[in-house]
Amino acid sequence: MKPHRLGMITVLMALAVAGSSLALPLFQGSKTDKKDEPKKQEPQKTGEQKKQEEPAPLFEGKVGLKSSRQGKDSATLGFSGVGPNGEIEQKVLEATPTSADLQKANEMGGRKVAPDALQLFIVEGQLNPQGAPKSQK
Amino acid sequence: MSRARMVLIALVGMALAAPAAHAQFGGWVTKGAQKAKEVQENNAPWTPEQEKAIGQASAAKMISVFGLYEDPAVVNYVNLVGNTVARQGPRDVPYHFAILDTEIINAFALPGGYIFITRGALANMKSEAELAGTLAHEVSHVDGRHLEKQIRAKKNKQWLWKEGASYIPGPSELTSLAKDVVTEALSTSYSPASESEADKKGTEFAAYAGYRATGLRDFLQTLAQAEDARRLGLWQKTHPPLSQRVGTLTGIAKQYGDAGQTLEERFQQNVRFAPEPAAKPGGSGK
Repeated sequence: MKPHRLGMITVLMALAVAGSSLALPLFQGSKTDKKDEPKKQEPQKTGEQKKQEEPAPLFEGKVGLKSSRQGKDSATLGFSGVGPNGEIEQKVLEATPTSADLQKANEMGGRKVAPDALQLFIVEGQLNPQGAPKSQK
Repeated sequence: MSRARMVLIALVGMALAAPAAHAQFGGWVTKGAQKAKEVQENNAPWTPEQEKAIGQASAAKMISVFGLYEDPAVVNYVNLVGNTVARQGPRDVPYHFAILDTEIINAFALPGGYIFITRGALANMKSEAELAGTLAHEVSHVDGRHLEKQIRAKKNKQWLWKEGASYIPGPSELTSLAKDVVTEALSTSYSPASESEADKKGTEFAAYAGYRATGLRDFLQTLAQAEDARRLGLWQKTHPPLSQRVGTLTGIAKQYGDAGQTLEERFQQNVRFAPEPAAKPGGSGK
């Protein structure tokens, strides 16, 4: 190979290396930007398509669900803050917990089942007295 | 031109371009490094202290939405069943179980081991195995940090990754974050992968605890036969279709056979709802 051609190749290689090192952050930047973009939603399936994909229902007919309330008001009691389709009303979601709610959560967090009572409960129910080994993760 | 001269020109050119390139791209590199650090911290699991603080604030928010059913005997029984299955979970979390005073049928797992079941759900169960299977499913959500991961992925709160892992937010930040957690729990479904994992692990925890593995399947089977938009609307919004899950759970439970306890009688003895007291004028109903 002629010396001047070798020199040209060296210059081109040096420029390529310099160019790639400058281009790297740009490329990484565009990758990060892409990562931040929300994932594209899959096209909405129609109700008919969804029905076809679901396994065939195992049951025929419908049954009524039980209420935990007794008495003539059982149809309406216990649905405070719940809309007709089971949705939670926005005003309920927006409300700030009261000090009584905070106190109840605090009590809930402090409630512990006594190990002896738990063992007795397990033995009486003929359940497994061994627990799994625990780990911090 | 000699080879040596060409190499020299190239090197001089690079040396001249370097400061300009640094000025132009150096800022981007620094910003990129900061972003990478934020993403890394954002992906780090909450510490036990953070999880406990966020869990407790979220529990208060959940209680503010539905109220608590506080019959000590029923609450104690639910805690005994819950802790029996929670012992089979590998993560060392203190679990706390409570009953929400609502007729809608659902169960919720919040960070820090705060697990709720509704009295509407309890009223439609037939055995302790059904309760154990349902609570074990929720324990699996906590064990897998499913809700926490959804909240972290949304990145709509910046304090954790700005302040670092040791930061415990103050009361107003906790209130805001708890609202996000509970809104997420009450309006969004877990990813299909998280639900599938919770079904699989929950069945495993219940079976290892000594319950019949079909508990959750049997409960969902009851729900799948029902039509009640008000009681089931939220469940249907936040869970995969019931018929689909019944089929999946039947397959999962098969590997555990028919062994295990169902304990119908013990369940019926313990889950009894007292008659409602006479309504007070102007009462909130909570």
